Amino acid sequence: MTEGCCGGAPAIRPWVPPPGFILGQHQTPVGMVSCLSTAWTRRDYLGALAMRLGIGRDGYRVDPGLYAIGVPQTDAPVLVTANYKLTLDHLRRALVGRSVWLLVLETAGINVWCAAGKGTFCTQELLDRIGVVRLDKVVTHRRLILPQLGAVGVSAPAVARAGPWRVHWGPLRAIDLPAYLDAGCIATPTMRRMLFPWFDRLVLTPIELRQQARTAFILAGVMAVLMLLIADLPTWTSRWPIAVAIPLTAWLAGCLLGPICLPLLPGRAFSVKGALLGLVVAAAWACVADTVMMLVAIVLIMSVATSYFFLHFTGCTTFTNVTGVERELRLALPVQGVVLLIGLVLWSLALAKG
Amino acid sequence: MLYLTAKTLRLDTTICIGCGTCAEVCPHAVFEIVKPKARIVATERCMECGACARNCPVKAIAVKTGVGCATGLINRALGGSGECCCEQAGCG
Repeated sequence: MTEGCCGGAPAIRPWVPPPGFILGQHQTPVGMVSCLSTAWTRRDYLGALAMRLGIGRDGYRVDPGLYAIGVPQTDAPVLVTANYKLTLDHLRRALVGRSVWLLVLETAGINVWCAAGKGTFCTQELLDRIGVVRLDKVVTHRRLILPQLGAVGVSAPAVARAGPWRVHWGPLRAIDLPAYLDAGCIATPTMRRMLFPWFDRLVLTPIELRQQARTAFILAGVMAVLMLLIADLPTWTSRWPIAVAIPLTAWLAGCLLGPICLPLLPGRAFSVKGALLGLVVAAAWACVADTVMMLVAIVLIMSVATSYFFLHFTGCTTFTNVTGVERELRLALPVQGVVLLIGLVLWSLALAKG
Repeated sequence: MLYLTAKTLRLDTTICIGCGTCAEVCPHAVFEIVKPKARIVATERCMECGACARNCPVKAIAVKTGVGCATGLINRALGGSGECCCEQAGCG
């Protein structure tokens, strides 16, 4: 494994395959390769859960190289993938009963789509890895099946110019691989369309909540401190939970409710969707406002905070574009800043009056 | 679900040879092949991933690519690394 190149960085621990991951060794013309199981152990399920909770993401990788599934011969297909263990787990589980070669690229433990976008799942790494594992000696054909999302980083024309290997674009999802292979490496239009169903959105929420937690709690702290400094002691003692709960509700709305309800939120800009959601959620808090000024403050703060938190979900979707996000930020962030300021001023004034 | 329309996707039909690669690699069916050329049929679905431009054999497509991630853009504006939220495998 690579060592840190700048002196102070720690070496990556050598990868030890977990129990049940490798079934045995498979003979190839250039030596033995590990044969992977197509079944998930309890450890694999726990690992998948940990990844969704954002625990231990850095180390969840496998060594790059050539692996076997089943009993592949010299004419078996070669499927190319990234060395993020969760990616590999989904891939091998889809290949029950099949005999294929897996060429695992070094993507620093990142999934295919993100790695392709960052430039690690790339043409050069593919060509280098083919050379390292001496793939030309292992199989008699020259076909590589890559996940469609790898096209963001790998240029099939460039691979063709560099040698005899030809890239075939497999389906988006591993579960469609059996049908794709059985059809003679032909994908249906459905296999090529990226969707963003509710479950895919739901599994992203724990990490979203974690990433925005600090900002949410800081805002809660600011509102609580303003109440402490401005309101009288009986008010503070009885109502400080409200100061804390308002931003935290916005946090839950923006990072959990918003993603789940994404198709229902009007507008295209995420800051707008978030603001409207915040407006609706603020209605639930209307009852705690005893003055109109306090009501307006709560509505403004809730809307702008939800808008801000939900804006960050743009990085997790399958359909936002970078120039659109840039355009949105240029307008949304200043507006959010101003509205938040007005909201906090009204909050302070309402506390002073009450 | 649609986002703000991407405005940077360009297809030069004078160079295009209608091979169909763009339609094959696009995850949002932005292109259609109407022989002998490709055609952009759904700009509003383009996410500027760049797969089409990277794989067009005659370089008939241009698009400004990047990750549509507010967190990363905000980080960069604040003088940070510009690293997207998925500093590891968070997005997938």
